[in-house]
Amino acid sequence: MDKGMEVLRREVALLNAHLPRKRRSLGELMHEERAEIGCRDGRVHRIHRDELEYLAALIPLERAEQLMLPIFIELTPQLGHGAARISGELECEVAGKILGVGGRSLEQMVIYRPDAWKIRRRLPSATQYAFIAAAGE
Amino acid sequence: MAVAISEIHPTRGELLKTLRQITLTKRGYELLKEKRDALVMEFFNVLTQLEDARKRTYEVLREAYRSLSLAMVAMGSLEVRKAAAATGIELEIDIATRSIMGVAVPVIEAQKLERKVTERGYSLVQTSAELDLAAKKFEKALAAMLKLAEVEETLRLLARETERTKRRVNSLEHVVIPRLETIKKFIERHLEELERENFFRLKRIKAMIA
Repeated sequence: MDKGMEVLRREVALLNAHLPRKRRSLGELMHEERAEIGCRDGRVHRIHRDELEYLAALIPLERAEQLMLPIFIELTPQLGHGAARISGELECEVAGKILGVGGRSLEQMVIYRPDAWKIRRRLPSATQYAFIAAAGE
Repeated sequence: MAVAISEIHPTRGELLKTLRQITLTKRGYELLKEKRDALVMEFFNVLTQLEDARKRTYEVLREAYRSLSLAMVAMGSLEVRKAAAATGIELEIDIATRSIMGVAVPVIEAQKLERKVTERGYSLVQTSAELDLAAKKFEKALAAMLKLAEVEETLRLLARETERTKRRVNSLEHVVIPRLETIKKFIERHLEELERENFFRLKRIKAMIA
């Protein structure tokens, strides 16, 4: 059974290997010809220029340095099946504007599958799924 | 992976180990299930994009071939071939990747696909305006074809990863977790049995002493 457990452990560890080693700000990426971010698995993740321009139009110019990309859509069994979380005030503001529920300033936002679908459809490369295991297990 | 019940040592230590394995497996199962669902969602997302990209590509190609036919009628096919041969064929395409839950999908970007009439390389004196129009439409079609290639490859890679994740989830749900639960039950029953035996033995000893 131990070998099987090892495979499973590795599989769970690899779930978040696609996440960036370090997130980069929208302002920083806007100035680069190729907006690329290094991932934990050694790959390079390219963000589409049109998505960066769309994001720049959504938030005030002076806050572009504060918006860190990619935006994480956190999936955790704690929230229940099909629910996801977006953390960060600016990230929530962007998500709210895409979903048409802007106006409130939130630190965290819980969204459901159709919302995640809408956000991913609009920002396929500027957002990433992050898998978070339930705490205390 | 398969462990026969007879090979299991029904001890408390083994029970604790099995309980830890069950917790880990269930956690992995929940996370993999989330990944599978997210992958399926992405798959359908890209599928709608594929339908749009395919429709657009067919449309622009149809238009381009129509313009090419008109150019052939106006200039003759030989002249069109000559103009095509004179056209530069170098095209700079930048292929990068983006990651969707660990699946590296291609991002194809081409700089300056649509050229000016003077940049195409054929003589403007010997060609007609229909040819310019056809060339312009083919350049547009090329951009649409690159987009289609990107989306199709993304869909193929996502399908493969979805299949792989689905297999893992199913194996955890239908094989690994039930097997661990069986082992847990077996050890628990064995320990309970030992406890009952011990209790009965003590009672017998007590009766003998009395």
